[in-house]
Formats: sequence, structure tokens, C-alpha cells
Amino acid sequence: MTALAPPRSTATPRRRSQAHHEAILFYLCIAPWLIGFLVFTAGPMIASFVLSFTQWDMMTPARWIGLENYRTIFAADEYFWQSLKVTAVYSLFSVPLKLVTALFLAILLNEASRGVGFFRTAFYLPSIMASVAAAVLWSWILNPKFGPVNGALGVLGIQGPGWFTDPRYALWGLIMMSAWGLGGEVLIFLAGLKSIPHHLYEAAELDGAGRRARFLRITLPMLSSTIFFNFVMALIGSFQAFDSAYIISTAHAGTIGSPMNSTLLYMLHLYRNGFSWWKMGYASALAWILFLIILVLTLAVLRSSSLWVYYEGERRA
Amino acid sequence: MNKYLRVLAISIVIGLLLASCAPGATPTPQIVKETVVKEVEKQVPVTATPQPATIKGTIRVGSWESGGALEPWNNAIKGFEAKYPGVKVQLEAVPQDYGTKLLTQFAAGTAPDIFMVGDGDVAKFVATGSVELLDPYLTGKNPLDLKTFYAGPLSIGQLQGKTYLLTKDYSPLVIFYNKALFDEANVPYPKENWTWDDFLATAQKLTKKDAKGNIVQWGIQLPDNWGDAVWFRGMSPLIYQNGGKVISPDGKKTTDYMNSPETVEAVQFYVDLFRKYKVAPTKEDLAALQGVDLFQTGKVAMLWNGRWPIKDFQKNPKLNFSTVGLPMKKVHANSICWAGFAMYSKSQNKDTAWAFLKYIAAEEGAQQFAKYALTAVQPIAELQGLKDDPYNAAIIKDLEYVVPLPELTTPAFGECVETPFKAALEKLLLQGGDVKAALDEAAAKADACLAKK
Repeated sequence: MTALAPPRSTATPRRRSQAHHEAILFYLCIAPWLIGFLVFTAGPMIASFVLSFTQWDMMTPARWIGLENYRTIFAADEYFWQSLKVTAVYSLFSVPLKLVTALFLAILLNEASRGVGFFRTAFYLPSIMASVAAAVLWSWILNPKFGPVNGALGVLGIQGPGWFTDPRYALWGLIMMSAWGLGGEVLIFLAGLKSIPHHLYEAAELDGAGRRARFLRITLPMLSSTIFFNFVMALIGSFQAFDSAYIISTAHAGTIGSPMNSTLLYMLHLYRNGFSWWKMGYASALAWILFLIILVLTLAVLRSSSLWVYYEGERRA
Repeated sequence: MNKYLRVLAISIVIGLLLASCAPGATPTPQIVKETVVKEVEKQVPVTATPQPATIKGTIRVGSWESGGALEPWNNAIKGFEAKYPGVKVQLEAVPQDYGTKLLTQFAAGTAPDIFMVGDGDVAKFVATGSVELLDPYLTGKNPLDLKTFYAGPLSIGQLQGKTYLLTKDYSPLVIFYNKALFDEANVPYPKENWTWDDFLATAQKLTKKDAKGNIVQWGIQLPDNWGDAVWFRGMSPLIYQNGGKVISPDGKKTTDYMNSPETVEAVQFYVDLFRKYKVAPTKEDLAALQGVDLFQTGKVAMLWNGRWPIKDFQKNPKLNFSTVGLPMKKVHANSICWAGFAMYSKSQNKDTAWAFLKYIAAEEGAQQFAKYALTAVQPIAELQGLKDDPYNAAIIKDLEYVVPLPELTTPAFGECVETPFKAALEKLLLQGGDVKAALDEAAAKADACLAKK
């Protein structure tokens, strides 16, 4: 990385022109990424911000209305608060569920001796499955009469609910679906686990630490930076969730957010405003509010990280 | 070495930039030909007969269809290109997210010259000025007599008496019934002019339970199209049959319409069919049986739907079925599902686009589409003899009772009226409750939303 950083110009003119050449080379090398970023990310973000102050249906010219969109969102949009509530519940449960399960599976994979490659692939495959296929699969897994989940509950004597057609349980179905896609987190945890030096465990065993102590005092602290990364990524991802909720609610339960707005994630509400009702300015305002929410939450996690994240080589008082 | 690296870096950058700017499907502007067209118009006096000399160039056509449904398109395009040599028609079929793509094309000003529009979107598209008014073309150099169309379907492409769209195809709602199941239960077949009470009694007699009390056969599968639990268009005939309405004719008010006693009674009847009389499978029952065609497998004795599955039913040798019109209460009423063609207001080649539009909506092109769905062109329909066909006769008869679509009264119908109505109906179907109170609330929300538009 340091080789590509633009070097500071030094004393002699000859060295300066060489440094100049290297600087040009540097900018040329990152030019594709930089241009892509400006044209496809930064530019549209600025456009979206400007659009959030307009009323635009994509066919007639945009009309400037100032803060009207934001005022409507906070004062006059019942679906906005419902979607925030649904997304908060979704995030609150899917993120820990995903991370805990991923860590558990990673520990198992770390200690496995046979067939590790197969299981690693098996755990990773769901996260790269096409979302439509996954939605159809899960609508069968959670099928009220013939699905295996309700079948297993039936064996235990519990009457399984209607899942995606029951407003009390549809969101839980979505949460389970999101936890199923934990492949990426498992692999990252596995890499983190493998990087914990063995001598720490050996030393702890010699001192008489049991499995629980070894896990809590060595594994978790050494993994804390990995946990931190996975946590932030999962948090951001959970607020942006769209695919599975959209397919399940429109194709299986009724309309966007069915049943009864219990699956109305924030991005579904945004999509409906932008593409079903042609209120692009309003949708842009919603997008920026989501950005701010995610930003605030991520900053909060970042600030808290000094309390619980331990980077290798650090010394704490 | 440094110089070599620099040259390499520059060429990589240029290569990547070129590769990322893939040419899109933009129409090649036939600028030279257009000026020729305009000059010919000035020189040659206007006559009643079409002038093929002005029809040149390339036009683009947008459709949301895919697979077998593109066959009539391809045949119509071939026929049109043979009739007018020198013209090219590019079909842009967008099976996924057609609406979204069309919106972005409008924003960029590159929408196709002719594009398909669904009935619910007609008012919205016209209001934004993206659809060309067709009246001048109907009476212009290449005229078209609107009397060749059936009045009902034609009216959906017309707003305030002005014509904006021409019909592609349409389907009213109809009840399919399984003759074998009727014979088994010794129930007489439904007849024209049957009432809600006849309908309910028939459905009840055809609902069977097993020893444990689980329903194994339902009397009727109510409108549940495309997985939509509360398909407004499908159940709205009940409201009209009872003399009710959903919105005022000027599209500004729903109170006293959506919660009128007639509408409340109709919605109550609909909800009772699921919850009180239990003659129709609920969303939960359907979720358990997803992927299964309930009508063809004999799990429901009647099906309330549009005309679309009729060809599949006819192909099934084990299915002995027929069709009947919807029941009546105070009046006969039916709703229509409709698709039409529109001309882009910013098209660069409007004369050719109009010629193609006329071809696919009223001339030989329409014959191609008529092979797959109901056509709005009277002469073609009469040639097909659908009125005497045992399966289609009831469908054609019910066309008389089609009610104007409420979606046409305001472009904000989907957002302001349909959303709260569907939410209220969904809640009633899932949890029951007082229908009048639910509809009062929905009407209040709808009016608040409409007031802001």
C-alpha cells in the first residue's frame, strides 16, 4: 500500500521529477475506481440529496418544494413509523441470531477434523443463493400444513402458525430467513479463529483454565475485532434488507408489507413510494433519512468499540 | 521501465472506460428522413386515404410480455414491415420490471415510440403528458373510425372524451364451474341472472368436509390473482352489483362512496364468504396448497377469475367445465382487466408510430393478438364467433355489464384509494371486525391523501 501512496517531493530536481512521475502513475492506477466512484456512487448520492427537496414523478420536470418531503415523512406518514418499527425489530433479532449462530458454526468448523471442506461449502451456499429461489424455498419450509418446521413443531405437540400469512409471525419467518444466509460471517469468523495463537490456549490449559474460561477469556477477546467487523456489516445489511421481504410479501402474502404491514421493512416502504406511487423526491428523502440512521448507529458502535474491542498487540491498563 | 508502465496504465484506463460505456438501445435518429417526410407533407394535399410515402424509418415498441406471448408481436411486426417496406420495428420486451424500466426511460426521454400500458396506469401516464393525444390522428391523413371497437374496452383508453390509448386485449371476470363436481353433489348448473343468494347456496352445497372437520373441497375460489390477497379489481364487481361505488365520479372524494351502506353490505358479503360461511379458501389455505391449481385438481367447484386460464382448462381432457357470468344483486355488474397501446408524446417518428398503432389495434395486426385474447375490434370478434362458443358465450355476454374503472378518475387512485381500502379489507379478512368502521377509517385516510394531490 505504501508503494502506491503519492511520495512527497524531496530535495533535488531529479528526485522531484521522479516523484512527480510516480504521483501521476498513482492517480492513473486508481483512476478507474475513482471515476467509477464519482459517476456511479458520489454523483447519484448528490443527485438524490437534491431530489429529496423536490417532487418528481420521473416524467414531468422536478418541482422544488424545500423541506416538504421531510415534513410529510415525520408528521403525516403512518407507514414510515410502522416501517421503522418493523425494521428495528428485524434488525434487533436477526443480527444477534446471525452472529451467534455464525460463531457457533465457525467454532465447530475450526475443531472439525474430517469433511471440513464439505461443511464449509454447505454453510456458505445459502448466502449466495438467488433471493427469489431462497424465498420460494422458505415459503415451503414454513408452509403451514406441509412444511418441515410446522411438522417438527407438531411432533412436539405445538400447532404451528401460518408463518407468512399470519401477521404475528411473518416477520419471524423473515428473521429466520436472514439468519440462514450466514455463510459469509462463518468464513470470516473461521479466519479469525484460525489466527488466534495456539500458545495462548496452551498457556491457559497449563494454568488450569476449563473450556468455558478459555472461550470467554481467550477466544472472545481475540475475536473481538472480527466480531466488531461482522457486527457492523450485519447491522448495516439488516437495515437495507429488501429482496426476501419484497418477494415473500408480494408473491406469497398479498401486497407489499403483507400481512397487514407486518413485513413492511423500511426499504419496502421506500420502494413503494418511489416505484409504485412515482414519488421519487419523497423516496430520495426516505433514502437519506435511512442513511443518517445507519450512520448514527454505526458511529455509536464505533465509539463503543474502545470498550470491548481488543486489537492484537494492544496493551491496556 | 517507468515509461512502459505509464503507457500500460494509460491504455488500461482507456480500455476500462471504453468497456464500461456499453452502447444502450438508443434509437438512431433518422434526421434526414424526417425532413423529407415533412417536406412531402407540405407538397402533397391532405387526402382521406393513408399515404405510405410518409411512413419510413425505425420505431421502437415496448412490451412486458415474454415467451409465447411474443408470437403475435413478431407476426404483427413481420406483417407491418411487409406492408410498408423500408420501415423497421424494434420490439423491446421487458418481462421483469417493465414499469420501472419505462419510468427511467421517460426520465431520460428515450421511451419507445409505442408502449403497452395496464389499465390501472392509464390515468397516471396521461396526467404526466407522456402519452400522445390520438384525436388528431384519428381524423387525420391516416384516419381510423372508432366505431370499429367495442365501446366498453375503448372507453378505458379515453379520458374526458379524448382518446389516448387503443385496446390490446381485455378480460372481464367470469365464473368457471366444474360440471363433474356439480353432478356429483346433485346441484343444478348456475344459470344466467343468478343472484347472490343462489351463488351462496350453490357454494355451500359444494363445500365438503372430511371426518375430522377439515375442508377438502371448497365451493368457490374467490379472486386471488397473482397472490394478491385482496385483489381489488377482482372483488369490486360485488360492490357495483349492490349499487355501490368506491369513489366520486370526479375522483376527489371517497366518503359516502367507499363507506356507503351499499358498499359496506357488499364488502360484508365478501368477508362472510371466507369467515362466516367458509365456502372459499383463505390466504392461509392457499399458502398451504401453493403451486396447486385448485380448480383443475377439483379442490374448488367454482373459480371467480378472468378469462386467462380458459385455454389451459380446455387443454385438460379430465376437466369437464363451463362458464357463467357473475351473479347479480341489485344489478348486473362486472369489471374488466385491460391492456392497451400508447404513443410516446416525444416520439421522433409519430406518423410511422401511428401507422403501426393502427395496424396492431385495428387492422391485420389486431388479428394476431385476437388469437390469444379477446379483441376489441368488432369485425374480428364477430368472425371468431365467440358469442356462440359454449365456453366464451357467457364471457361475451357479461361485457354488457362492465362498469367504468374507478382508476381512471384520478392518477392518485393506487396510492390514495386502493392502499387504505386493501389494508382495511386485509384486516377484515384476517381478523374480522366491524366492516362499517373499517371502511369509514379507510375513506377518511383516502380523502386526506386525495386532498393533498
